[in-house]
Amino acid sequence: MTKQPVISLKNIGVCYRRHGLFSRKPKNIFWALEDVSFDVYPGETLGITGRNGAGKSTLLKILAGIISPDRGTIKMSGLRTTLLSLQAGFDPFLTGRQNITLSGMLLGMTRKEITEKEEEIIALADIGDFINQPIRTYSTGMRVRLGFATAHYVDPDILLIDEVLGVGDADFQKKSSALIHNKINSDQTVIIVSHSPAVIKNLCDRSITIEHGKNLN
Amino acid sequence: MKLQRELNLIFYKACAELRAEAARTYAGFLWWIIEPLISMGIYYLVFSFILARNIENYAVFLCCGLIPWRWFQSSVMCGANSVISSRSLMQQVYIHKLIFPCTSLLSNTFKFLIILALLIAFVLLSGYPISIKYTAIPIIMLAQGAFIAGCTLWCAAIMPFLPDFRLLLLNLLQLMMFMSAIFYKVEAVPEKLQTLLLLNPMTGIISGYRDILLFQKWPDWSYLGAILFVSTLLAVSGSLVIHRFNRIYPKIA
Repeated sequence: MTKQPVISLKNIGVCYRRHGLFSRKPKNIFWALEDVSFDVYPGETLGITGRNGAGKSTLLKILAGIISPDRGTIKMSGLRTTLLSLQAGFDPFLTGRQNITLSGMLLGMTRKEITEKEEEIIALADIGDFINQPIRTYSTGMRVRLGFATAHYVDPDILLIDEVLGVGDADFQKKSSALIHNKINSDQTVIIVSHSPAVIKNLCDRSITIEHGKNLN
Repeated sequence: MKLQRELNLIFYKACAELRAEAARTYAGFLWWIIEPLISMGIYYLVFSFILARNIENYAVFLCCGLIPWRWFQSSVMCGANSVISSRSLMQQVYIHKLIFPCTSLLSNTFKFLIILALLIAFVLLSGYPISIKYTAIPIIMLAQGAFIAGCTLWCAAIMPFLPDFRLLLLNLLQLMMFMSAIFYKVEAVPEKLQTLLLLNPMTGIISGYRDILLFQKWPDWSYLGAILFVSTLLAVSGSLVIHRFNRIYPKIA
């Protein structure tokens, strides 16, 4: 590829301290990521696999900008990177509409974008008249659908997905996983993290395997 | 553009929190009025009858102290816990951590404004005249707001590192309350102690509110200026600390 990478990771390491602030002893420091390097190119779908505890979630948090690495360098081209997170910031005592706005804003949408897409979000979530009721009165399925519909309409430059799964009941699972697959197959840059190599092989242009905090290839 | 986005988020989040809080109870937002009334009623009973103070119109005098104090106390308590209590949210999305204490500062200030309006009505109904000195109210609020912001931001900044501080904070606030000349006049304590009490900015601020509302006097400008200056430094440095650890908090909280 001749394109410039949109994200470039070089020798990234992340450590957690076991006893908070006051521990400097090496045995209390745990390196979740030790040495990870790779580039992400515009428009591609990149898969990241690895076993439980290999450091996938930590890597996602780095890519989403939630935490910063303790060593190594990361170059992002100033694009909006968002982790597809469902029901982020939902408050049980707010109505469906208010939660759409709150969660949408937290995920990086502007008030204007949310107002424009509100009806589509409500239609996708298929909540009916309950949309003006506090979501504590919702069934689990309704809450899940509302969370998915809101996150679906967030349109970041780079989308991060932690395990591609359909959510909700059988019907909605089909609908939601079809929508995610559409996103993956589009021109959008997508990074998918999954413990299943089969899923990754199926969906991604390219994949990286993480083991013990290092990437193998 | 980005700052605009964050300001919008603070504003919407504060509104959402207020709405959710009101929706939690049957009386809803009326509790923002009832709850302070009850707590002031209790202090009034205790200090007026049991510990009998010789201050005329003690109820008005007490309210002028307690209401600004409650603004301080609830903002600091709420704001100090704001970063920790957003633990799960900050694992899911990236948001600047300053947004959390700023949101609770905003919602607590809103509640204070309602009660302040009631306080002024109470003062006027009790027969105190309105005067030109009322124009100093926004200025004293600015000084107090800056002091509140300074304390809140610093507490919010260090709380995730020192969870034990939370238990200490309750007691510290209680000590500070009794040293803030809410229940007594500053002039009523021995002179040596007065200087000590005035080191606590809340003492001076509360005296300032009383000067304006009850005694038709201008507040002590140089004192307010000093508070404003020191508090601004506190608020700016606290913000910088939070900014410095912006992407560290999700790892430790």
